[in-house]
Amino acid sequence: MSNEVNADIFKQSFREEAREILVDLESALLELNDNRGDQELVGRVFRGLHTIKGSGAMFGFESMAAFTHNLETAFDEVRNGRLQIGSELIDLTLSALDQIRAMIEETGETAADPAACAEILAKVRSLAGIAERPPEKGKSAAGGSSAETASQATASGSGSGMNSEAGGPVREWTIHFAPGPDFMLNGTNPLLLLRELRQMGGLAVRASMAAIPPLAELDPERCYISWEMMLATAAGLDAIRDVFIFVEDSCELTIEPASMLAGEAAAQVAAAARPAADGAPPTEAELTAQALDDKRAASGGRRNYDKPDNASSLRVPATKLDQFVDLVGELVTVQARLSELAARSEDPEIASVSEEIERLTSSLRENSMTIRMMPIRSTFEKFRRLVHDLARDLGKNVELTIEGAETELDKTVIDQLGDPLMHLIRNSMDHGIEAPDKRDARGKQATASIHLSARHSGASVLIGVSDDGGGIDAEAVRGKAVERGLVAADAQLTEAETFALLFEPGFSTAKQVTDVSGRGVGMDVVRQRVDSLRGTIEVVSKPGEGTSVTLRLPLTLAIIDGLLVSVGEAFFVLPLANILECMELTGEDIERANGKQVANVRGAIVPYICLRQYFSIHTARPEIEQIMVVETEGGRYGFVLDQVLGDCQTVIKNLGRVYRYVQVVSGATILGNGMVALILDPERLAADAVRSASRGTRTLPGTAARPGGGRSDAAPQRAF
Amino acid sequence: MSVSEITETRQYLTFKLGNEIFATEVAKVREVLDLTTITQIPRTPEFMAGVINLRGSVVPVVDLRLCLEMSRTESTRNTCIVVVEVLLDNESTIIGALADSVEEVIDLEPDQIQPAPRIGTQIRTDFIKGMGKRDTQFIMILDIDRVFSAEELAVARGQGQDAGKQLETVKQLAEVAA
Repeated sequence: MSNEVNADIFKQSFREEAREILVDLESALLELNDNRGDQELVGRVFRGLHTIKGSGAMFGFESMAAFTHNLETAFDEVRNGRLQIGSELIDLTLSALDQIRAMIEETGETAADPAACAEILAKVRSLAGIAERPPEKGKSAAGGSSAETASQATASGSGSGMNSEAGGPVREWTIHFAPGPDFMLNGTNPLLLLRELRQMGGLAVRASMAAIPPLAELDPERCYISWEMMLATAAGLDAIRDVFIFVEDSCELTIEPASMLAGEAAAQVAAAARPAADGAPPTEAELTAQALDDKRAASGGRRNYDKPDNASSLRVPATKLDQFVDLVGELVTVQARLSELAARSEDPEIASVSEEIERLTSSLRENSMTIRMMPIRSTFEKFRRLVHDLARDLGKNVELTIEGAETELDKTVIDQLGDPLMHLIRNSMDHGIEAPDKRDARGKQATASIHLSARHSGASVLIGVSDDGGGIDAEAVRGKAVERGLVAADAQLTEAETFALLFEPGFSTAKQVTDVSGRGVGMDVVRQRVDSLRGTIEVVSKPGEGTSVTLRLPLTLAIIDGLLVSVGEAFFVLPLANILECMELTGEDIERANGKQVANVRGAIVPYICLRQYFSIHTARPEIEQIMVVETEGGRYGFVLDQVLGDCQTVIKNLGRVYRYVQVVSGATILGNGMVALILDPERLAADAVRSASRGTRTLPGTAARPGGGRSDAAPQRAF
Repeated sequence: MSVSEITETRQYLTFKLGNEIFATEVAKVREVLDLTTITQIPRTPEFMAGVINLRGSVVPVVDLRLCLEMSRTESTRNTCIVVVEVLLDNESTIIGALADSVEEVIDLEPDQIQPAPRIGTQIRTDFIKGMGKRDTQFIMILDIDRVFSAEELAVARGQGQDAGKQLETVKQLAEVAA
């Protein structure tokens, strides 16, 4: 950390790491809550806390480290069997994690609530039986805390003399510490480690500088020095090892009791260590190095820093990934143009190059899409905490089960899923799942369950949230809808239609608004978000047995399978997912329908929307038009257009903030000829056309334009 | 933004809308393009000319003349698209602006720039950062962020009546461009 920029980068990567650890800690704690005797889990929590504390202290989050230290002490007690896990400890730790999260965030340490921290600390201390004394005052009061805990206190910066208090006999250790060549590149300062060792007891250090190359070959960022140390301390082996806990992987480290060293080497190190001079004569240093090399060969060095595979996965900023996908999208566009040119040029050589590029581009595109795919696990795991907290607040007993957490979907989709899932779960917890006494009366299991699932189905992903609660009262929903004037009192509604009402803005059947839900906002949010992801919602509910909500979402947002169509000179893309069939519409058909815009699709009456009118495109209408029949939530509609040009897999381009009010167009794509085609949103288009028709306010130029008739300036004939 | 904020020599790109010379800070300008095919977005207000393909990304284009309450841009050999980077709701956004012709890049000292007169211009004074003078000609320095501000473009919401007329314009523009 030679300069501020570096420090910032390290802090940032620490934050990212810490966030992940916090999520893991949370789920470990919640598992621990269900499975209190599991030592493995206790270990996981302990390790997580320890890592956060250690790296936190290293990157300047001292107060956070000190705070975490107390938690860690408590879990050390648990680990040593002196403290039982109770829900109080779990809840305390969970709220402590929230504070830690606040402390590490960008806003700085002020964001955490100091009063809350102090309260948590006091409770943790009283639980763990730790005397209420700030950690700076030394650890002798730390009850039965082990030597290991004591040494960790050093890491958090309290820095008290350790050798005096652990009470054990003072032993001598020899430590061989040879940092890997890249050791200093990740910001570790070996001198700090030595200083930390020194605080544990009497330390004699001896630097071996044999590996330092001539100045001309010296790379100032590499570490060439290794150290031999003799440490006299009462702390145990684990405590010494903990000093090196964050660098173990990038250095060679051997810690052995002095007596166990091969006699000759020990004598040499000891002899060299006693003067404790950093500038020992080179000959002696060489000798020592030589002796230690032998010894190392014998004991086989505990860690080897140049093991090959510590980068089997990479952490890449999401923005870089987005840029990459954008570039691939551009490449696809350019490639399409190239193909067109090659086809036109009739030069076989160019054609073959173009084909080659086409093949490469398509595999590049597929690859880049899979890079964006992430398992949905982290999003799902987040809800364990929500369910746990809500269950406690609502006084209900709820268990969350997760299935298919490894299902992969586009990162953008995953990012957008958090909110809708949260609302669905809150809804289930508050309205779906009954109070314990009611469950008892209904003869259900005392512990209710909420099941989160994810699975692939074709080009879609199905995300399910189901509960075994009371189900939705369809009559109540209907009643409320009639009351609010959403449906006519005598309307016949199918179950799906009834449940769809739940997602209307402001719709709520809750008799009272609680702080969990009931205002009718949540479900509206769910629908909007799912709509924007081009997904659909399906609700199935059985009274008394439970409710299950399934979100069907596209695998990726970046690419769409569609049909390229044209109206006049304008090109549009219709998503293939909505299209049912395509049929012809002749002038005769139109006349036969007596001006009604409906088509007869194998006996079924399908209303159609003339895109030429709808988009006010004033070009001549061809003799035979095409009707594209699409399936929408509101039923089947036909879109009338001039020509179907073929299917296309296109990269979706956002129209940008300027056009965010345009509802009927979900994006744009660039065609092989460089033209921009608009991607239509059939759902919204149909809904908008229906709305305009029912309002009757919008008039469109008449349908009177006949083939060859040119622009229609006729008076509006029909409200659309 | 006002003229008082201009305290140092800056470079400006000047362009013509009709007979008037306008300018915008060079720092805001990404590039200048020849007129290309503009794809119109249905049911949007007239000044929103549509979108273009800018090397693979879709960039919205605005008819600057209509924004400034002048008549619609007629396509000529000199018609250009000035691609600018503006702040929209505090987010940087790329927008293309139609200009009748692009002139040159000039340096203007702060003392060459005066506040816009309250009256005497046909253009909304809040769009103008200041008036520069060069030789005998006045140059109106546009507050481009302001012209394209969210409130101005928000007018787009629910307006689609002029879509047809607009498409025609674009068609004509496209024909000339081709």
